[in-house]
Amino acid sequence: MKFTHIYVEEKLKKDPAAARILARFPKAQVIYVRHYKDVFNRSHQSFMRQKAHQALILAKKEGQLIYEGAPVCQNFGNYYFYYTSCMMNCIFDCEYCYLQGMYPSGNIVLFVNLEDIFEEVRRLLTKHPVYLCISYDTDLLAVENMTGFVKAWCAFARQYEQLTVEIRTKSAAFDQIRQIEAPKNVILAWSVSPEVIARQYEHFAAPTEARLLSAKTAWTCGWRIRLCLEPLLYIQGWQDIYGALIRRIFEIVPPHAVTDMSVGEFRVSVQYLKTMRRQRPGSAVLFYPYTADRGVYHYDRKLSESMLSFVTEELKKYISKQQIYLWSEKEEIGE
Amino acid sequence: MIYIACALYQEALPWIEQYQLKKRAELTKFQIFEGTAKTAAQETLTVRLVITGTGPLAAAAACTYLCTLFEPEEGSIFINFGICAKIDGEGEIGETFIVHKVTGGSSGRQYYPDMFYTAPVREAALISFDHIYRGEPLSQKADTHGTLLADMEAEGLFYSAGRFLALDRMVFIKVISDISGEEVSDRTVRQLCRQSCGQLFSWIEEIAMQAAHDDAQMMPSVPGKESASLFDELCEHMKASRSMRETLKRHLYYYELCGGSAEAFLKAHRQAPCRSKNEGKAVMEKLLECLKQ
Repeated sequence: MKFTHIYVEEKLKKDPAAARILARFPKAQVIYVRHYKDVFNRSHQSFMRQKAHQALILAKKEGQLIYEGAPVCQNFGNYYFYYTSCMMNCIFDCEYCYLQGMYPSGNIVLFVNLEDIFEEVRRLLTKHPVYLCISYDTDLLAVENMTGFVKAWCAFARQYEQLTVEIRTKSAAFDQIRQIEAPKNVILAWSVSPEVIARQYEHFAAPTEARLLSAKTAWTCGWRIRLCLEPLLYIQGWQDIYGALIRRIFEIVPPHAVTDMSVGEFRVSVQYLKTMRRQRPGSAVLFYPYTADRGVYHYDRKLSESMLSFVTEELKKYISKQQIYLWSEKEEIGE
Repeated sequence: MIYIACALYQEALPWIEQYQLKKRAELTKFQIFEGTAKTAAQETLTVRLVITGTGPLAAAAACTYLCTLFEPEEGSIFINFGICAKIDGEGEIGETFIVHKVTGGSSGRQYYPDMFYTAPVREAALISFDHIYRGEPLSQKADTHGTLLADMEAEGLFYSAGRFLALDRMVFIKVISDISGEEVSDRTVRQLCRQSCGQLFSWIEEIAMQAAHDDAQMMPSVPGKESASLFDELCEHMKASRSMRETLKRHLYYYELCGGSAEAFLKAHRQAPCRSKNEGKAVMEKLLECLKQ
């Protein structure tokens, strides 16, 4: 990981956490800014070109630090479902990623005031249990060698039984946290796609096989692991391809190692896809003729049901139905 | 295309000489020069240069004039080149800097070009005033890390060029000509700028080529005449409505992105004219299904 330019909020000039990050990049040009949004929210940014030349922005997260989980996301049966973004954007570049529709910039923002976020979680925990996803808008494990955030979250989570933390990744970077003891209330979740899709659309992410091996290693070290077949993407011959993927998953990861799995078709807001298409006019996955419904683009009902049903049936050969969490349109509209 | 904005003729001269730019005499609001650059890889780039005059308003007006007359296409870059004063930090007279942050001296607004390209010179922040900086104490904190420069055009140019180009397609290059606003002769300006440009020409050409290449890769291929006429014929035979045409176009675009040939598809699916709109719709549904597969 290399950054030629690092933007730092002025208020972090003497911040030890910011200083630690800067020390890792002694050759980077440091530019002080008043607020991270002065850089992140500029108009006329090219998300795609920024992805190829990412800058790092160090900031202090203020205002709302924890958000209620979005309906389009899987809550795994947890009522008190939240997420937080201690980092915005990802070092990987998946063509279908909603971040390029949501964020005006492809640069990475790292909020160094983790302790404030922890404090907010503590406040929530006084009211009820919390299921918290911390790696939605980013891939924290992929950048663990720079931030140390996963270790920090694990140390924090260990103190609170009522807290469950999910850390999602497309990396094979489990070795970055191998030396720490696995907290019982932390779930490492790998997003897994067929290799042909990973190669074509998930730029810079770890190959599928490497992710699975990383997941297996995590399990052997005592971690709870989750596998996410999301998003399911239509590709010619998808049944054979997803069938082969599922077989391969369980050739590498023993079925009893898996805490649970999530399955969901590709879905994205109409507004986001419009922006994403503008950013990537040459991406087949973005220009598939999706069906728009209640502000969300997804596959037509017939294909969607067919894909979900096929994948679920294949998974049931290895794990129980109760371990499979499906997101479907019906769930979104509360049927 | 390379767009260049310089406040003074002496700043523009090295560029005019290098690329043998010719003045567009018929354009009278601001002086505009035009020519071509031939890169090391023997590719040709159009170069347009405007002499803005000094001050942010003139700069903004001139830049807008240039970009409105000759709208920047995909792959264009914008360069502001000129002299500046040094306010603080390292840097001697004659040294060139690329600007990574522009602060408006009166407005206090801050502007950040995206810094994608490794420049052959150092970087600096800059405050853009509406008057010649003569070493007076700054009204706002110089929240910089490193060299701080002063000029009179960057804010106006950033604001106006930013309406036409993306943030990574704008480069602000300044040569230190004085420390506290002391007078600098035309001759000195000319010399400093000539020396500075010597190290910049090939770098700018490289950036321009990279920008053109990046954008060419991004743009989908334009359908050929035969494709277009087959498409029109098919739509006519299906009695397609405007929305059906758009839907078919989108599906054909997706088909091409998946490696198919829209032209081959259209040739293979030529239709006799449908007898009714309903028949046309049924034909359309079948075609869309094929294209999605």
